Amino acid sequence: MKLLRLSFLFLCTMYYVLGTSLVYAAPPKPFSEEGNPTDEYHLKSFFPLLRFIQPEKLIVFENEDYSRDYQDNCGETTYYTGSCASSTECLASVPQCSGDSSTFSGTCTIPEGSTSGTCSYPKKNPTIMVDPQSTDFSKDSSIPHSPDDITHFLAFPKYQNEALRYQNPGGDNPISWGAHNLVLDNCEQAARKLMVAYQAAQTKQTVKNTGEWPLGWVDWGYVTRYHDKTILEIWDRLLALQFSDIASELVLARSAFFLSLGNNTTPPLTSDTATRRELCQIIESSSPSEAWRQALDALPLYPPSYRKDYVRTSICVYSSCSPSQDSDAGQTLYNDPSVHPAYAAAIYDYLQAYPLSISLSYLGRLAKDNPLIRYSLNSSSLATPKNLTKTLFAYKLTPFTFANFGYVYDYLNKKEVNSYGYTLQPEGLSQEEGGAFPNESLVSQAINFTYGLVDSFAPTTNHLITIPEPLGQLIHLIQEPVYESRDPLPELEDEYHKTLSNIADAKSAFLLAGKGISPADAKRRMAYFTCQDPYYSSPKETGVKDYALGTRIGCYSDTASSTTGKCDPVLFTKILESGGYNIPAKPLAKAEAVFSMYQDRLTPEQLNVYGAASAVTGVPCEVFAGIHYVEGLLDPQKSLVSGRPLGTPEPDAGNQVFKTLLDTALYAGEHLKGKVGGNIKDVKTLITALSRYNGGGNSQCQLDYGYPIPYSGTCPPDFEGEDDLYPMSWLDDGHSSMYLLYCDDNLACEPTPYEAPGALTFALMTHDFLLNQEGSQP
Amino acid sequence: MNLELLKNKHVQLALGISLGILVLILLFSPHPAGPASRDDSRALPSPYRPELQSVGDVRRLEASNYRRSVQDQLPIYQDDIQTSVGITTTLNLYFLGSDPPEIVRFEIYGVSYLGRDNSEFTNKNITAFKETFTTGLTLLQDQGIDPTKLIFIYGDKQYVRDTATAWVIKYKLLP
Repeated sequence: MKLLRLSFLFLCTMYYVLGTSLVYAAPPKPFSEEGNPTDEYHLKSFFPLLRFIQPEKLIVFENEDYSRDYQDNCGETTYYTGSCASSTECLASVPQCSGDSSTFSGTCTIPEGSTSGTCSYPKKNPTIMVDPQSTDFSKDSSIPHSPDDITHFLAFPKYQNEALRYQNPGGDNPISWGAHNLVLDNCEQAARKLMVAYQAAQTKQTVKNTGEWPLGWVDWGYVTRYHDKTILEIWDRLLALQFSDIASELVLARSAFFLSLGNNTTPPLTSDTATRRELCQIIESSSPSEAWRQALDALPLYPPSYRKDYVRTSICVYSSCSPSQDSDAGQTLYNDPSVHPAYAAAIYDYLQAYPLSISLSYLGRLAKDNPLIRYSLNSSSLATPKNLTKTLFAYKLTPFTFANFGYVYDYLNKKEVNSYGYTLQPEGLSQEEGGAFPNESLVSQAINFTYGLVDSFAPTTNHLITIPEPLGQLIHLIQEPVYESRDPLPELEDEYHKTLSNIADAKSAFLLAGKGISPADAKRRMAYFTCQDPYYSSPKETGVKDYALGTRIGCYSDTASSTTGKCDPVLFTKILESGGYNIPAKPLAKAEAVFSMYQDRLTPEQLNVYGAASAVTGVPCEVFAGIHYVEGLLDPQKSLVSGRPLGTPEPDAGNQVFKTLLDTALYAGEHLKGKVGGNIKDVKTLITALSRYNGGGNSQCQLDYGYPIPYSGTCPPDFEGEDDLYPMSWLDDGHSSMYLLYCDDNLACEPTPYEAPGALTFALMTHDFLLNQEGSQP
Repeated sequence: MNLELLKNKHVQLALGISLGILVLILLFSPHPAGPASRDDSRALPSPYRPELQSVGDVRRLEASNYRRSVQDQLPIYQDDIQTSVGITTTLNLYFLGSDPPEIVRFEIYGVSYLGRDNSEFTNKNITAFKETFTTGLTLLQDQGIDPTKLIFIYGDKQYVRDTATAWVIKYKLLP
């Protein structure tokens, strides 16, 4: 009997071990095993830190199957189920949505004494059907050569090489790889590399002293190209003696900066301190042939480490989804070897791109939602999960009452939930720590029973959800204000639309984001696409709260009608007919000359965006073109709010960040109407609205202006805005000479001629352009 | 499903508790708003208005609730306001779908916010602003809206917001 029990226990243990996907695998070179925590440590120590992110700000990526939603006859795996003589006969085929198909093998098991057997297949869940395919980025042009060539018009830096942007030192192609590093002088590079080496040693010390890994750990066993020495070997043997004090001060200064986020500390790396001057002197006076210089050169600019993100299935019943509680349902990790250096570099880029006050304000806001940012690059004992938990864990579980009942399921807007109460956490962490009811409680069992009943009757679907680790939670917020990482729609549609499906469900065969699949971090980038980007079955960025609310489900239907639209001249015609101002048949000749230079930019795609915004807001399509010309010269990567690159905080919009041109157009339309009480009824109102949209500061009839204004029109104006160059420049003879008045806000200067058409002028010419297009169509 | 199971007392008890809990979930869970309300904020990112950074959570929550309670009385739009210094102004009290739920826009057009002259004796714009602002407060109160319970912003452009805020504070225009 004992043997039977032992056998049973053994079988259970083996089932668990083999069934779980959490078998630790050593990271590949150049990463090291000893310099990175185990999977178990990630699950038990790092992922619970995600509870300190405000739930609605916790980024969760959900993958939903485009092909299954919209296409037939692809993706369903068919298995050979007949008898087999060898495993080569056991083939499963997965027809791709592109028309091709892929196969994978099973195992033929032949009973003893028999010549044929049956096939069995690896059972993995969740899985993926189609490998992502890359975009051809050889076609790079910052300016389209012709309207037909618009698909070559790429956002830069490119989607694909973003992964390498920070890592590659610029070996074989410094123009496209690591080009931004060329702006760093020797001293700056040395400072960053020294910090990497120092932090590698510091990480090892922290692990040795505390048994824990700091959040900003650096892989000390990372192999460099300097005689295949590790970072730690280089530090110990060649750098520590000479640079220990300098590196320590640099790292301490950076830590202090992020801990305080600017309270009386200078920004790291960009300030001229005695330490930096000392380092620069050493670097400048040394010979590049010295061993320590060569070793220093070989160090990575930004800290390497082998990071893991968390993946599991989400179960949806009707439109309500929640992370699966079943450990057999596909919990795993995926490798992200690039997020740490990319994150560190992005922070430096951000600090260099923005004034300190704006940077601090922005980082401070991020820290409010995600306090881990303060410790994200810290490799001291201060940043170990245990210490972070002590520091940040202000939340105490609330005893059960009916009043706080709902949030356990719904993650709704209760204060406790907003303060770390959600339960979206990996196995190994007690549910109580996450704010859930204990499993063994009667309430919990009753709830599970109830939902079990629901599950048995209702249709369920599985999605794959991915939760980036702490640095992955923040990186896109830091990167996007600095540069645009996305391709334009036509490019992505061309390459991805029909061929890419990164969907996982119980029928798929391979897990895209699973172990050993490189570059897994590409997935992190795919998830940048929002619901507004109809590229493909987008992995949708969402939050824990969205899961509970099911709001992401309506993502497609909410936007489907508003992401495209026809640029219809009817609305503008009506406004012109309503009068209020005597619009000339044609604007000044010099305005038309400018328009002819820019009309190629009024591509069908761009007009569709204006049309979509027009359909939503009721503002004529041509007006969006006019505003976009004045603000951003019709550049599709620049916003209608201020002409700043998309993805940049907009000061005039309360620092909102707009990801798409359409978002900025919707904002513009909504505001334009708001400025005149909600109704643009005629040309006069439109002129006033445009002037107010721009703040009215360039009105020419300003009383007591410090300089004479040689404005060609008459003062006082007929109505507000009639003397403002923003709408009126070059519209007619009265507005042929208009002047920029202020060099900066509140700084009046000698008037400077404004040599461009205004928004209304450009809108008028766009109107003619559209009418001519209509007229030329059969 | 085996119907015999339903005769089991434990199953009956569990079912009873489950149904009771299901009812409680429906009653107590603050369910999400329907699709119509989602549309309001669909395409626009969450705003982080600098003006709200220094405002406490309680104040923001109260302002948000109060704005919701009076939103039907907005917008208030009045043009051709003749001020004593000869400047004609327009008053626009409103909010947009993309605005944070706490704020109301208190915008006054027709005055110049660009000058550095902060003396009311030499800068007519200040007088025009003050008079229009007072008119705005009166219009709000006429609608039964208590302006002290709202959080106002005064424009989109930084210089407009800064100048208007400075005038409101300097001349103690808010009750």
